[in-house]
Amino acid sequence: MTTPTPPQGRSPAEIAEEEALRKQFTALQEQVLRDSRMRLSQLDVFLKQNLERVVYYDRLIAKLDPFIAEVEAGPPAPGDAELLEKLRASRDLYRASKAMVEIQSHDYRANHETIRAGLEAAAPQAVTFLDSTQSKPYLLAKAQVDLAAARLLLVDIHSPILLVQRLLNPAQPLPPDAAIDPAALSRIGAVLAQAPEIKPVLSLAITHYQEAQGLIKEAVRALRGVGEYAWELSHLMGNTSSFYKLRGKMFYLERLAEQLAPYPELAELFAKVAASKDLPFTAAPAPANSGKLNPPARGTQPLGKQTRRLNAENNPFADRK
Amino acid sequence: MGGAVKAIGNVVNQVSNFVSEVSKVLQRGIQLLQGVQSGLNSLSQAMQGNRQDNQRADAAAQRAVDDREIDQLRNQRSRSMQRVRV
Repeated sequence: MTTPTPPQGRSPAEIAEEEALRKQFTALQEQVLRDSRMRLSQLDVFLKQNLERVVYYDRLIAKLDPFIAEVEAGPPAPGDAELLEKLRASRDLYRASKAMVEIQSHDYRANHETIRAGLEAAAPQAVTFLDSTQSKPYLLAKAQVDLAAARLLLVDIHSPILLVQRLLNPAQPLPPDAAIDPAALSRIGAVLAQAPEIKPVLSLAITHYQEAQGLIKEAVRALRGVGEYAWELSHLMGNTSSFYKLRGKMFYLERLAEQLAPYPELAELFAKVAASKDLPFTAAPAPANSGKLNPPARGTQPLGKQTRRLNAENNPFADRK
Repeated sequence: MGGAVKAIGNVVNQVSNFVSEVSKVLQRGIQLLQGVQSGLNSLSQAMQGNRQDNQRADAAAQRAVDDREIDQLRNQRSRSMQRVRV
């Protein structure tokens, strides 16, 4: 990047004006060069991390696909329904995460090239950077990540919810494939007898769990519709969508699991998959801990809006700013 | 005399135009640089947003089945099928 050659025979005012412009140009040029180099090195790091992610996702998908096929082919074993949902949700999560990361990487490579070309150019030139984060494929992948995350959470608390349901409403019929551990039933029954004040919370948890199941079905239907009707996506991401409510619901259930921490037996059941696994490409993120559940947030609706407004910083399901 | 004044006037105008052109080039360069700078800032924000999205996926992956768990689940299922057969 070069500046024009200064002309001769100018008035002091013109020289001063041009000098000021020249200084502004030079300062800006230095800043742009500095930022360009910094962005290039960040893009290199992000591309490398994304490549590691894709390798990781590919490996897991390649292991999960045959396992799922094996379970589907039978012969059936006890607990297959829950196992299959866990495996399928995991695979869907990895697929969606991979799709999301690949779109990011495509943009990173294009932007890397744009910056590199800009640095090599003799003079400043107009540039256009790629940002597909609001594109339909990216939003769709992101929605699928959220959906798989919600399914995984529901699988994890499925057994504890059934168990609590059995304790709170012994007369209510359970699903035919429900398998409840009698020893756990006895232990948790003893806990509940000593702490009856937790019963309303657990009852609410069951309601939220059931509502979340319904919302997941709606979200699945909405995601299927996206492929055929573009407008579905805006609906999906809109304030009234089932997806929006589902995010709030999941956040509530996660926090509820944290709330049960004073009751080790229940906490163990609700949070049986504590963040103990380190992913290879990054340090494990701290589990969302947003403090005590505020009484207003215990209401059934509108949970999504409340959690987003009150805890936007800590809500892993909130849309980014 | 009048012709000379006119000629000098033309030269002055040409110099003035040239100076104006230099300023315009600088201003154009500044505009372009500002555009690049703004693009770099937007890119930084987009990358930060992507990072948040990836962290969200990582948080979800904490619950997903990983290499070790696949083997564990396979073994568990195998044992449970054996018990059913017995």
